[in-house]
Amino acid sequence: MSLAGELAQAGQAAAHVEVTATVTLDEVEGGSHRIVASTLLARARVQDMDKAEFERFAHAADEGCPFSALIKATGTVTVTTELEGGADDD
Amino acid sequence: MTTDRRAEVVWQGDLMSGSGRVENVTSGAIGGLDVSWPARSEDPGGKTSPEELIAAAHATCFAMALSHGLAEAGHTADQLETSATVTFQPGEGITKIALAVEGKVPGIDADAFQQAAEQAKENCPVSKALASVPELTLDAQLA
Repeated sequence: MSLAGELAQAGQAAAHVEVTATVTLDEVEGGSHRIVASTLLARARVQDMDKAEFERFAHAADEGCPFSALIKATGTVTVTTELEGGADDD
Repeated sequence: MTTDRRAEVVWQGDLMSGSGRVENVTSGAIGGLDVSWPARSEDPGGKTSPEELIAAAHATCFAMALSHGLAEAGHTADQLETSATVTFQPGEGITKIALAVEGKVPGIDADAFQQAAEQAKENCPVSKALASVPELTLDAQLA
């Protein structure tokens, strides 16, 4: 939702976005368990946008996403991006 | 052992008028769940939301932690009915989570149950991950 909002603000309302999140639970000191990471992958078909630009939007979306903010207080959030049919497709 | 759990969402269009769908998860247990911004920020209209999915995660995690704590103290629960209510303030974020539990636990007194529930609330992995939520409350009752 955050990424859709960022793209719409940039005039890219017709975007098709696929996002996967992989949440990692790990055992920490003392034998207890902790959610240590959320790994986000954003793939999109967006008109007239190059990979670097899409990557900026994806990072802005991560910055503005309430859930990313919560996870970051105690774990790590990483964002990777893939663009399909973007301006730099060759 | 480290476990990874993955969920995939496909979103089409912009935030306000577009929509998304939770497509695949690692286990295959859920999928095909529609989501939209109006359903998240106004009336749900039969659609789930990130907050509702977090609520499910938190209530589940809390129940697991509490069942473990009770069993370790020699009071295995017959049943724990837990819930989490996640409050979302558009423009601000997730502002509050209210945990509640009604337990059927043979041979435990109210104080010990309250204490075990407090422990679970503080220490379950989802509580830890969501530690920066401004307000986390607990209502623990014995049935």
